[in-house]
Amino acid sequence: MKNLAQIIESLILIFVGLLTVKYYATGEIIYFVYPGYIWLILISSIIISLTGVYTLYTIYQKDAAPCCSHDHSCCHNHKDQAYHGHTVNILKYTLLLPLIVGYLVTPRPLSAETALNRGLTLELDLEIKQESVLNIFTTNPENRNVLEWVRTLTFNPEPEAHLGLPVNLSGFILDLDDEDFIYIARFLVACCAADARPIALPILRNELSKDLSNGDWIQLEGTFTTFQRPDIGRKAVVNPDQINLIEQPRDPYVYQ
Amino acid sequence: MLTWNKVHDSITIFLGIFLEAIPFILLGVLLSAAVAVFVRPDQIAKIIPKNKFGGILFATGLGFMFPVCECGNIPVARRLIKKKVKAYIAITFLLSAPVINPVVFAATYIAFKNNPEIIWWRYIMTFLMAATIGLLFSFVKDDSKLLKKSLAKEYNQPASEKISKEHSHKNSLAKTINEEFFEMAGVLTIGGFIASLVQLALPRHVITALGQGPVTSVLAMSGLAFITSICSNVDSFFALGFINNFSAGSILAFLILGPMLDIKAIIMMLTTFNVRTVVAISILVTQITFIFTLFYNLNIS
Repeated sequence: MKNLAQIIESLILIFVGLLTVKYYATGEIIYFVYPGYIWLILISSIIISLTGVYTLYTIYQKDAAPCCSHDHSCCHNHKDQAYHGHTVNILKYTLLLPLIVGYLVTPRPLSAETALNRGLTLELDLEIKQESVLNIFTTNPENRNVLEWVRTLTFNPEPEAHLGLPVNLSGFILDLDDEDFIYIARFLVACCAADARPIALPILRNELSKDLSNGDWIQLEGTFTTFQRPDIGRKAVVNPDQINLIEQPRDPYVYQ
Repeated sequence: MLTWNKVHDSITIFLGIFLEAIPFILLGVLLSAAVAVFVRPDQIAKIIPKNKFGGILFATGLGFMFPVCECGNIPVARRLIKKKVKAYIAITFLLSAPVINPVVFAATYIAFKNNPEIIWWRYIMTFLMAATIGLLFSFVKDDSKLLKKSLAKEYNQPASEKISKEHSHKNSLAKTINEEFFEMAGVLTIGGFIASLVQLALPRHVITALGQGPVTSVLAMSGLAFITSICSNVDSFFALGFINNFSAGSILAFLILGPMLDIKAIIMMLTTFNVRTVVAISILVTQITFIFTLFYNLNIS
């Protein structure tokens, strides 16, 4: 019975590690975490899997140290870890939860519903770093993505400064039931999906956008124009020339 | 209304928290095992400054030698006390070490690099709170009044050079890593599940009302920190799940109160200190956290 519990625990370790390897191999890991940390997560996961394999090996070899035997050659001090007994046993099996959802549910990025729930960011309230400012001036307008355009507008909110500049970018649609605009958005991620927030550019409604729904991925070509309304003042908005529905890209987020 | 998109997004958020935390769980586990095997608290006891303020300052930095969360530092504190280190030093260490250590700093930085004020204020507030509480306890002349009866009896006996039995038996490294990993990862799993469930189940206007109020947000996140009992090396990733909806002060409340005081820490503290001491620590931690973070919400944020 004790060996069976240890075998299950070892298998949990192995499969927790393999879950990350699976996500990495399929490229789906970027739906969950910032790309810069993937290597760290991958290496850690492999170590955890190997620990599980080693523990299985020691069980097989019958080398596992006895615990809490009658001669009190205990593996841990009961005074210091008084609560460990049953609490640790229960905790071990909670790890089945990420395994079950990880292996059974097809991964995908955050949806438009979460974007609507979290609220749009139209201007970044963060300090603009030097390299970001440099990028704004060195990246051609038609090569800028949603994040770069939002940075541009944050740096210089004057609508006339962007009049006529070309826009060619992709993102998903958010419709806030505004009579004049819909939005093209991407999730901005700093660490992982938990902190993702949608950043967006407003697009003037016209014939091209009338059949679009929340969550549709589009490739948008257009130019910046100015728009005025009493409740929002003068704003730089995108006047679309071409909108094509596209498949969700493999890299759906943008990163700070 | 519950939709499949919302459920799926909750799963994505939950797995994001879990995966991001894996390296820090492993690092915490490896360091905890290394501390158990290689570091002897009696060696540390010899170099702690004798004067009160020097001792407290030294104790707040001890986390660099013992970068473990509360499960790991309670046994260390206990061994320090057995080596006749003053109880107020051990208490200062207990409160500061779970945060003021390089592992937690790295995790906090990675989670909040776009909100650096969270990082710095976490450390400033933790340092001030640990030092203040340590200083208050330094006025207790008789340490045995703070300790659990069995430990107080031992404390009043002459110091022994014998290595205690606790130290003589060591787990195999794999078994230690195994047990500690399951404990930390298990608590994180529960915490991550709660974080994703809150985003799924609570209507947005409720989250916004709760999260934006300067007082309600602090109370809510402090309560969450106490209940979820997440290890400090991964709690930043859990708190990140609330950054969009909760005030900065409440995020700080979670990050400073959680490592000092939660269900797990209270159980562990009762192995060393008596009930009155643990109650006093609990009251001080909650009161000071509330004052600091409310001040932050109203005047700084």
